[in-house]
Amino acid sequence: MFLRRGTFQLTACAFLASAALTATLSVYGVARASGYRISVVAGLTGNVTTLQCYDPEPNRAHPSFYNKPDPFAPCRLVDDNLDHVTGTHAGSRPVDIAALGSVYLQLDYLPGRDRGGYAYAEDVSGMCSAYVGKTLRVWTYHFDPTDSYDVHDVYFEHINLAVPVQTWMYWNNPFALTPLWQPWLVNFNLNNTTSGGWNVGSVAQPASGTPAGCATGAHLHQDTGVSHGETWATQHYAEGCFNDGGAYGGARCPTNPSTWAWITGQPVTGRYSDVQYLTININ
Amino acid sequence: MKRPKIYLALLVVCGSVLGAALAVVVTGAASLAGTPPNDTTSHTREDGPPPPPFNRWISPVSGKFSVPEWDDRHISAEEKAKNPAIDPRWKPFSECLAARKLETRPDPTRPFVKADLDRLLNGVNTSRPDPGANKRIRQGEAVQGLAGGFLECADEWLSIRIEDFSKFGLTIPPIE
Repeated sequence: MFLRRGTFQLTACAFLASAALTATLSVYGVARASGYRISVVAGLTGNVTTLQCYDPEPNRAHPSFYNKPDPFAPCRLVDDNLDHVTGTHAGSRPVDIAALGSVYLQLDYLPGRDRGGYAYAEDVSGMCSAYVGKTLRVWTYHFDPTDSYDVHDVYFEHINLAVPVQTWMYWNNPFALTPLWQPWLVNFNLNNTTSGGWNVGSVAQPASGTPAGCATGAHLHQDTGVSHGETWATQHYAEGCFNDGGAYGGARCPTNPSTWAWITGQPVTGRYSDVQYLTININ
Repeated sequence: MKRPKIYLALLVVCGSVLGAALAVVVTGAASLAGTPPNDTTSHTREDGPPPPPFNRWISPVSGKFSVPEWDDRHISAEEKAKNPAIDPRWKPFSECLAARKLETRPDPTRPFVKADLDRLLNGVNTSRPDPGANKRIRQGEAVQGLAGGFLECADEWLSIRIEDFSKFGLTIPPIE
Protein backbone atom coordinates (compact mmCIF):
# COMPACT_ATOMS: atom_id res chain seq x y z
CA MET A 1 0.00 0.00 0.00
CA PHE A 2 2.74 2.40 0.97
CA LEU A 3 4.76 1.47 -2.07
CA ARG A 4 1.81 2.30 -4.31
CA ARG A 5 1.31 5.60 -2.55
CA GLY A 6 5.03 6.34 -2.93
CA THR A 7 4.91 5.54 -6.63
CA PHE A 8 1.93 7.83 -6.96
CA GLN A 9 3.75 10.59 -5.10
CA LEU A 10 6.82 10.16 -7.25
CA THR A 11 4.75 10.25 -10.45
CA ALA A 12 2.86 13.32 -9.30
CA CYS A 13 6.12 14.96 -8.30
CA ALA A 14 7.70 14.22 -11.69
CA PHE A 15 4.63 15.50 -13.49
CA LEU A 16 4.49 18.73 -11.50
CA ALA A 17 8.22 19.28 -11.83
CA SER A 18 7.98 18.70 -15.58
CA ALA A 19 5.09 21.16 -15.87
CA ALA A 20 6.98 23.70 -13.83
CA LEU A 21 10.07 23.25 -15.99
CA THR A 22 8.00 23.67 -19.16
CA ALA A 23 6.48 26.83 -17.77
CA THR A 24 9.92 28.10 -16.86
CA LEU A 25 11.26 27.50 -20.36
CA SER A 26 8.19 29.13 -21.82
CA VAL A 27 8.61 32.25 -19.69
CA TYR A 28 12.18 32.59 -20.90
CA GLY A 29 11.33 32.11 -24.57
CA VAL A 30 13.13 28.83 -25.04
CA ALA A 31 10.98 27.36 -27.78
CA ARG A 32 11.33 25.83 -31.19
CA ALA A 33 10.80 28.06 -34.23
CA SER A 34 7.35 27.93 -35.75
CA GLY A 35 6.39 28.33 -39.39
CA TYR A 36 4.14 31.22 -40.30
CA ARG A 37 2.64 31.65 -43.75
CA ILE A 38 3.03 35.19 -44.98
CA SER A 39 2.24 36.85 -48.29
CA VAL A 40 4.28 38.91 -50.70
CA VAL A 41 1.67 41.23 -52.14
CA ALA A 42 1.61 42.83 -55.58
CA GLY A 43 4.34 45.41 -55.98
CA LEU A 44 2.26 47.35 -58.45
CA THR A 45 -1.35 47.94 -59.47
CA GLY A 46 -2.04 46.44 -62.88
CA ASN A 47 -3.07 43.32 -64.72
CA VAL A 48 -1.38 39.94 -64.37
CA THR A 49 -0.09 38.86 -67.75
CA THR A 50 2.06 35.80 -66.97
CA LEU A 51 2.49 33.22 -64.25
CA GLN A 52 4.76 30.20 -64.69
CA CYS A 53 3.95 29.56 -68.35
CA TYR A 54 3.97 32.15 -71.11
CA ASP A 55 1.20 30.21 -72.81
CA PRO A 56 -1.17 28.44 -70.41
CA GLU A 57 -2.26 24.93 -71.38
CA PRO A 58 -5.85 25.34 -72.58
CA ASN A 59 -6.65 21.62 -72.55
CA ARG A 60 -5.42 20.95 -69.02
CA ALA A 61 -7.46 22.19 -66.06
CA HIS A 62 -6.05 24.74 -63.69
CA PRO A 63 -5.20 22.92 -60.44
CA SER A 64 -7.53 25.13 -58.43
CA PHE A 65 -10.07 26.40 -60.92
CA TYR A 66 -11.96 23.76 -62.82
CA ASN A 67 -12.08 24.01 -66.59
CA LYS A 68 -9.70 26.97 -66.81
CA PRO A 69 -6.34 26.91 -68.64
CA ASP A 70 -3.45 25.78 -66.50
CA PRO A 71 -0.71 28.45 -66.22
CA PHE A 72 1.70 26.13 -64.43
CA ALA A 73 4.42 23.77 -65.64
CA PRO A 74 4.88 21.76 -67.74
CA CYS A 75 4.68 24.69 -70.12
CA ARG A 76 3.89 24.35 -73.81
CA LEU A 77 6.02 25.73 -76.63
CA VAL A 78 3.12 27.08 -78.66
CA ASP A 79 2.70 30.85 -78.84
CA ASP A 80 -1.08 30.86 -78.37
CA ASN A 81 -1.30 34.44 -77.22
CA LEU A 82 1.05 35.69 -79.97
CA ASP A 83 3.41 37.54 -77.64
CA HIS A 84 6.52 35.99 -79.30
CA VAL A 85 7.51 34.17 -76.11
CA THR A 86 6.86 30.53 -75.21
CA GLY A 87 7.91 28.05 -72.57
CA THR A 88 8.63 28.62 -68.91
CA HIS A 89 8.74 32.03 -67.31
CA ALA A 90 12.10 32.60 -65.59
CA GLY A 91 12.39 32.91 -61.83
CA SER A 92 10.88 31.30 -58.78
CA ARG A 93 7.07 31.73 -58.57
CA PRO A 94 7.21 34.54 -61.15
CA VAL A 95 4.38 36.94 -61.83
CA ASP A 96 4.32 39.67 -64.49
CA ILE A 97 2.14 42.70 -63.83
CA ALA A 98 1.71 45.02 -66.79
CA ALA A 99 1.52 48.68 -65.84
CA LEU A 100 3.61 51.76 -65.25
CA GLY A 101 3.94 53.19 -61.77
CA SER A 102 5.67 52.95 -58.42
CA VAL A 103 6.85 49.55 -57.24
CA TYR A 104 6.71 48.54 -53.58
CA LEU A 105 7.92 45.73 -51.39
CA GLN A 106 5.02 44.92 -49.11
CA LEU A 107 4.23 41.83 -47.03
CA ASP A 108 1.05 40.72 -45.32
CA TYR A 109 -0.14 38.33 -42.61
CA LEU A 110 2.99 38.80 -40.50
CA PRO A 111 2.43 37.24 -37.06
CA GLY A 112 2.49 39.36 -33.92
CA ARG A 113 5.79 37.75 -32.95
CA ASP A 114 7.39 39.16 -36.11
CA ARG A 115 8.73 42.43 -34.72
CA GLY A 116 10.37 43.87 -37.84
CA GLY A 117 14.03 43.89 -38.73
CA TYR A 118 16.29 44.78 -41.59
CA ALA A 119 16.00 44.95 -45.36
CA TYR A 120 18.96 44.90 -47.71
CA ALA A 121 18.66 45.63 -51.42
CA GLU A 122 21.10 44.53 -54.09
CA ASP A 123 21.34 45.49 -57.74
CA VAL A 124 21.61 42.08 -59.41
CA SER A 125 20.95 43.31 -62.92
CA GLY A 126 21.87 41.19 -65.89
CA MET A 127 22.39 41.98 -69.53
CA CYS A 128 18.78 43.01 -70.26
CA SER A 129 18.96 45.79 -67.71
CA ALA A 130 21.04 47.75 -70.21
CA TYR A 131 17.79 48.07 -72.18
CA VAL A 132 14.85 47.66 -69.84
CA GLY A 133 15.38 48.65 -66.22
CA LYS A 134 17.21 47.13 -63.31
CA THR A 135 16.76 43.95 -61.31
CA LEU A 136 16.57 44.48 -57.58
CA ARG A 137 16.86 41.71 -55.03
CA VAL A 138 15.59 42.59 -51.55
CA TRP A 139 16.50 40.47 -48.54
CA THR A 140 14.04 40.92 -45.68
CA TYR A 141 15.11 39.86 -42.19
CA HIS A 142 12.35 39.13 -39.65
CA PHE A 143 13.28 39.28 -35.95
CA ASP A 144 11.27 37.59 -33.20
CA PRO A 145 11.10 38.33 -29.44
CA THR A 146 14.21 36.20 -28.83
CA ASP A 147 16.19 38.22 -31.42
CA SER A 148 16.40 35.17 -33.65
CA TYR A 149 15.58 35.87 -37.27
CA ASP A 150 14.57 34.39 -40.59
CA VAL A 151 15.35 35.89 -43.99
CA HIS A 152 13.88 35.62 -47.49
CA ASP A 153 14.30 37.43 -50.79
CA VAL A 154 12.04 39.03 -53.37
CA TYR A 155 13.10 40.05 -56.89
CA PHE A 156 11.75 43.06 -58.78
CA GLU A 157 12.76 43.26 -62.44
CA HIS A 158 12.51 45.96 -65.10
CA ILE A 159 12.48 48.90 -62.71
CA ASN A 160 14.20 52.23 -62.24
CA LEU A 161 15.73 52.03 -58.78
CA ALA A 162 14.58 54.40 -56.05
CA VAL A 163 16.49 52.94 -53.10
CA PRO A 164 20.08 52.81 -51.89
CA VAL A 165 21.63 49.43 -52.62
CA GLN A 166 23.86 47.52 -50.22
CA THR A 167 22.57 49.53 -47.30
CA TRP A 168 20.86 48.21 -44.19
CA MET A 169 17.35 49.57 -43.92
CA TYR A 170 15.17 49.39 -40.81
CA TRP A 171 11.57 48.24 -40.82
CA ASN A 172 8.85 47.58 -38.28
CA ASN A 173 5.79 45.43 -38.13
CA PRO A 174 3.45 48.03 -36.61
CA PHE A 175 1.07 45.27 -35.51
CA ALA A 176 3.74 43.33 -33.63
CA LEU A 177 3.30 42.72 -29.93
CA THR A 178 6.48 44.75 -29.44
CA PRO A 179 7.77 46.37 -32.65
CA LEU A 180 11.53 46.07 -32.94
CA TRP A 181 12.34 49.76 -33.43
CA GLN A 182 10.88 53.00 -32.19
CA PRO A 183 8.75 54.51 -34.99
CA TRP A 184 11.18 57.36 -35.66
CA LEU A 185 14.03 54.92 -36.32
CA VAL A 186 12.46 53.00 -39.19
CA ASN A 187 12.71 53.58 -42.92
CA PHE A 188 9.36 51.92 -43.58
CA ASN A 189 6.68 49.64 -42.17
CA LEU A 190 5.55 46.30 -43.55
CA ASN A 191 2.31 44.39 -42.88
CA ASN A 192 0.15 47.51 -43.25
CA THR A 193 -0.97 47.18 -46.92
CA THR A 194 -1.37 50.48 -48.74
CA SER A 195 -0.42 52.52 -45.68
CA GLY A 196 3.19 51.38 -45.90
CA GLY A 197 5.65 49.22 -47.78
CA TRP A 198 8.99 50.15 -49.28
CA ASN A 199 8.97 52.10 -52.53
CA VAL A 200 11.87 50.40 -54.32
CA GLY A 201 11.45 52.00 -57.75
CA SER A 202 9.16 52.44 -60.72
CA VAL A 203 8.49 50.37 -63.81
CA ALA A 204 10.93 51.20 -66.62
CA GLN A 205 10.02 51.86 -70.23
CA PRO A 206 11.94 49.48 -72.53
CA ALA A 207 14.45 51.15 -74.83
CA SER A 208 14.43 50.60 -78.55
CA GLY A 209 16.69 47.93 -80.02
CA THR A 210 16.13 45.53 -77.15
CA PRO A 211 17.68 42.09 -77.84
CA ALA A 212 15.36 39.15 -78.35
CA GLY A 213 14.32 37.70 -75.04
CA CYS A 214 14.57 40.93 -73.08
CA ALA A 215 11.26 42.50 -72.11
CA THR A 216 9.69 44.71 -74.76
CA GLY A 217 6.62 45.92 -72.88
CA ALA A 218 6.58 47.92 -69.66
CA HIS A 219 5.84 45.58 -66.79
CA LEU A 220 6.99 44.47 -63.37
CA HIS A 221 8.39 40.97 -62.99
CA GLN A 222 8.16 39.87 -59.37
CA ASP A 223 9.47 36.59 -58.00
CA THR A 224 10.86 34.99 -54.88
CA GLY A 225 13.80 32.85 -53.83
CA VAL A 226 13.87 29.09 -53.91
CA SER A 227 13.35 28.30 -50.23
CA HIS A 228 10.62 28.90 -47.65
CA GLY A 229 8.02 26.73 -49.37
CA GLU A 230 6.58 29.37 -51.61
CA THR A 231 3.52 29.08 -53.77
CA TRP A 232 1.50 31.38 -55.94
CA ALA A 233 -1.49 33.05 -54.34
CA THR A 234 -3.75 32.55 -57.31
CA GLN A 235 -6.80 32.34 -55.11
CA HIS A 236 -6.55 36.04 -54.44
CA TYR A 237 -5.80 37.46 -57.87
CA ALA A 238 -9.18 38.98 -58.45
CA GLU A 239 -9.70 40.17 -54.90
CA GLY A 240 -12.89 38.37 -54.17
CA CYS A 241 -13.29 36.58 -57.44
CA PHE A 242 -11.33 33.60 -56.19
CA ASN A 243 -12.02 32.68 -52.62
CA ASP A 244 -9.63 30.66 -50.48
CA GLY A 245 -11.31 27.41 -51.40
CA GLY A 246 -10.69 28.03 -55.06
CA ALA A 247 -14.38 28.49 -55.83
CA TYR A 248 -15.66 31.04 -58.29
CA GLY A 249 -18.28 33.59 -57.38
CA GLY A 250 -16.83 36.61 -55.58
CA ALA A 251 -18.40 40.01 -56.02
CA ARG A 252 -15.67 41.30 -58.33
CA CYS A 253 -15.48 38.35 -60.70
CA PRO A 254 -15.65 38.97 -64.45
CA THR A 255 -19.15 38.45 -65.72
CA ASN A 256 -18.04 36.11 -68.46
CA PRO A 257 -14.66 34.63 -67.60
CA SER A 258 -13.40 32.59 -70.48
CA THR A 259 -10.14 30.99 -71.51
CA TRP A 260 -7.29 33.52 -71.43
CA ALA A 261 -9.23 36.21 -69.65
CA TRP A 262 -9.36 34.05 -66.58
CA ILE A 263 -5.61 34.00 -66.12
CA THR A 264 -4.33 36.94 -68.10
CA GLY A 265 -5.76 40.34 -67.50
CA GLN A 266 -6.71 39.69 -63.89
CA PRO A 267 -6.36 42.93 -61.94
CA VAL A 268 -4.22 43.15 -58.85
CA THR A 269 -3.84 46.06 -56.48
CA GLY A 270 -0.38 47.17 -55.46
CA ARG A 271 0.45 46.64 -51.78
CA TYR A 272 -2.83 44.75 -51.35
CA SER A 273 -3.34 41.67 -53.53
CA ASP A 274 -1.52 38.50 -52.48
CA VAL A 275 0.88 37.28 -55.15
CA GLN A 276 3.21 34.77 -53.48
CA TYR A 277 3.06 32.95 -50.17
CA LEU A 278 6.14 32.17 -48.07
CA THR A 279 6.71 30.40 -44.79
CA ILE A 280 8.98 32.12 -42.30
CA ASN A 281 10.31 30.39 -39.21
CA ILE A 282 10.53 32.46 -36.05
CA ASN A 283 10.04 31.82 -32.34
CA MET B 1 10.25 2.52 10.83
CA LYS B 2 12.31 3.12 7.72
CA ARG B 3 9.30 3.73 5.49
CA PRO B 4 8.28 7.10 6.98
CA LYS B 5 11.89 8.30 6.61
CA ILE B 6 11.91 7.41 2.93
CA TYR B 7 8.54 9.04 2.56
CA LEU B 8 9.78 12.19 4.25
CA ALA B 9 12.93 12.20 2.14
CA LEU B 10 10.85 11.88 -1.03
CA LEU B 11 8.63 14.72 0.07
CA VAL B 12 11.64 16.92 0.82
CA VAL B 13 13.27 16.22 -2.57
CA CYS B 14 10.05 16.64 -4.48
CA GLY B 15 9.16 19.79 -2.59
CA SER B 16 12.59 21.27 -3.21
CA VAL B 17 12.41 20.62 -6.96
CA LEU B 18 8.92 22.05 -7.18
CA GLY B 19 9.78 24.99 -5.00
CA ALA B 20 12.86 25.89 -7.00
CA ALA B 21 11.03 25.63 -10.32
CA LEU B 22 8.07 27.62 -9.08
CA ALA B 23 10.36 30.28 -7.64
CA VAL B 24 12.00 30.69 -11.03
CA VAL B 25 8.61 30.91 -12.74
CA VAL B 26 7.26 33.44 -10.23
CA THR B 27 10.42 35.53 -10.37
CA GLY B 28 10.45 35.47 -14.17
CA ALA B 29 6.76 36.29 -14.44
CA ALA B 30 7.07 39.10 -11.94
CA SER B 31 10.07 40.43 -13.80
CA LEU B 32 8.21 40.37 -17.13
CA ALA B 33 5.04 41.80 -15.59
CA GLY B 34 7.00 44.72 -14.24
CA THR B 35 8.60 45.49 -17.59
CA PRO B 36 6.94 48.26 -19.56
CA PRO B 37 6.34 47.11 -23.15
CA ASN B 38 8.47 49.91 -24.53
CA ASP B 39 11.53 48.60 -22.76
CA THR B 40 11.68 45.77 -25.28
CA THR B 41 11.91 48.22 -28.18
CA SER B 42 14.98 50.12 -29.28
CA HIS B 43 15.47 53.75 -28.42
CA THR B 44 18.44 54.03 -30.79
CA ARG B 45 19.37 51.75 -33.62
CA GLU B 46 22.39 50.60 -31.64
CA ASP B 47 20.07 49.27 -28.94
CA GLY B 48 18.54 46.81 -31.38
CA PRO B 49 20.04 43.63 -32.77
CA PRO B 50 22.99 44.32 -35.09
CA PRO B 51 22.69 43.64 -38.82
CA PRO B 52 23.28 39.95 -39.50
CA PRO B 53 26.47 38.82 -41.25
CA PHE B 54 26.09 39.36 -44.97
CA ASN B 55 28.19 38.72 -48.05
CA ARG B 56 26.74 39.52 -51.45
CA TRP B 57 28.22 36.35 -52.98
CA ILE B 58 26.76 34.01 -50.35
CA SER B 59 23.05 33.37 -49.93
CA PRO B 60 21.96 34.07 -46.34
CA VAL B 61 19.28 31.42 -46.85
CA SER B 62 21.24 28.50 -48.32
CA GLY B 63 24.81 29.40 -47.40
CA LYS B 64 25.78 28.69 -51.03
CA PHE B 65 28.16 30.85 -53.06
CA SER B 66 26.50 32.31 -56.12
CA VAL B 67 26.66 35.05 -58.75
CA PRO B 68 23.64 36.86 -60.22
CA GLU B 69 22.63 35.61 -63.65
CA TRP B 70 24.14 37.69 -66.43
CA ASP B 71 22.05 36.26 -69.27
CA ASP B 72 18.59 37.20 -68.05
CA ARG B 73 16.93 36.89 -71.45
CA HIS B 74 13.63 35.04 -71.24
CA ILE B 75 14.52 32.47 -73.87
CA SER B 76 15.21 28.77 -73.69
CA ALA B 77 18.54 27.32 -72.60
CA GLU B 78 18.99 25.99 -76.13
CA GLU B 79 18.55 29.45 -77.61
CA LYS B 80 20.96 30.91 -75.09
CA ALA B 81 23.53 28.25 -75.97
CA LYS B 82 23.18 29.07 -79.67
CA ASN B 83 23.71 32.77 -79.08
CA PRO B 84 25.55 33.12 -75.75
CA ALA B 85 25.71 36.38 -73.87
CA ILE B 86 29.15 37.05 -72.42
CA ASP B 87 29.53 39.21 -69.33
CA PRO B 88 32.44 41.60 -70.08
CA ARG B 89 33.50 41.34 -66.42
CA TRP B 90 34.27 37.64 -66.77
CA LYS B 91 37.57 38.20 -68.61
CA PRO B 92 39.25 40.37 -65.93
CA PHE B 93 37.61 38.21 -63.25
CA SER B 94 39.17 35.05 -64.69
CA GLU B 95 42.54 36.79 -65.03
CA CYS B 96 42.29 37.76 -61.36
CA LEU B 97 41.74 34.11 -60.43
CA ALA B 98 44.56 32.94 -62.67
CA ALA B 99 46.92 35.45 -61.06
CA ARG B 100 46.13 33.77 -57.74
CA LYS B 101 46.85 30.37 -59.30
CA LEU B 102 43.18 29.42 -58.95
CA GLU B 103 42.49 28.47 -62.56
CA THR B 104 39.70 25.89 -62.78
CA ARG B 105 39.12 25.80 -66.54
CA PRO B 106 40.15 22.73 -68.51
CA ASP B 107 41.45 25.02 -71.27
CA PRO B 108 42.49 28.47 -69.97
CA THR B 109 43.33 29.64 -73.49
CA ARG B 110 39.63 29.78 -74.37
CA PRO B 111 37.41 32.70 -73.29
CA PHE B 112 35.71 32.43 -69.90
CA VAL B 113 32.06 31.48 -70.40
CA LYS B 114 29.02 30.66 -68.27
CA ALA B 115 30.00 27.00 -68.01
CA ASP B 116 33.35 28.06 -66.52
CA LEU B 117 31.58 30.20 -63.93
CA ASP B 118 29.26 27.30 -63.05
CA ARG B 119 32.25 24.95 -62.70
CA LEU B 120 34.07 27.46 -60.50
CA LEU B 121 31.06 27.96 -58.23
CA ASN B 122 30.61 24.22 -57.94
CA GLY B 123 34.24 23.91 -56.87
CA VAL B 124 33.90 26.75 -54.35
CA ASN B 125 30.74 25.28 -52.84
CA THR B 126 32.28 21.82 -52.68
CA SER B 127 35.31 23.23 -50.89
CA ARG B 128 33.08 24.95 -48.29
CA PRO B 129 30.24 22.54 -47.54
CA ASP B 130 29.18 24.04 -44.20
CA PRO B 131 26.30 26.46 -44.94
CA GLY B 132 26.20 27.72 -41.37
CA ALA B 133 29.86 28.74 -41.47
CA ASN B 134 29.42 30.30 -44.90
CA LYS B 135 26.50 32.42 -43.71
CA ARG B 136 28.76 33.98 -41.09
CA ILE B 137 31.25 35.31 -43.66
CA ARG B 138 30.95 39.09 -43.86
CA GLN B 139 31.65 41.26 -46.89
CA GLY B 140 35.39 41.77 -47.27
CA GLU B 141 36.30 39.13 -44.70
CA ALA B 142 39.43 37.13 -45.56
CA VAL B 143 38.77 33.50 -46.47
CA GLN B 144 41.33 30.86 -47.38
CA GLY B 145 41.62 28.81 -50.54
CA LEU B 146 39.54 28.80 -53.71
CA ALA B 147 36.58 30.42 -51.92
CA GLY B 148 38.78 33.26 -50.72
CA GLY B 149 40.15 33.89 -54.20
CA PHE B 150 36.67 33.78 -55.64
CA LEU B 151 35.39 36.32 -53.10
CA GLU B 152 38.31 38.69 -53.67
CA CYS B 153 38.07 38.58 -57.46
CA ALA B 154 34.28 38.82 -57.40
CA ASP B 155 34.47 41.87 -55.15
CA GLU B 156 37.01 43.43 -57.50
CA TRP B 157 35.34 42.71 -60.84
CA LEU B 158 31.85 41.20 -60.66
CA SER B 159 30.63 43.98 -58.38
CA ILE B 160 31.11 46.61 -61.11
CA ARG B 161 27.67 47.94 -61.98
CA ILE B 162 26.62 48.09 -65.62
CA GLU B 163 26.42 51.89 -65.64
CA ASP B 164 30.08 51.98 -64.56
CA PHE B 165 31.36 49.59 -67.24
CA SER B 166 32.83 52.39 -69.35
CA LYS B 167 35.01 53.55 -66.44
CA PHE B 168 36.73 50.17 -66.55
CA GLY B 169 36.87 49.86 -70.32
CA LEU B 170 34.14 47.23 -70.35
CA THR B 171 31.51 47.03 -73.09
CA ILE B 172 28.59 44.65 -73.53
CA PRO B 173 29.13 42.51 -76.63
CA PRO B 174 26.32 42.93 -79.17
CA ILE B 175 23.58 40.30 -79.13
CA GLU B 176 21.72 39.40 -82.30
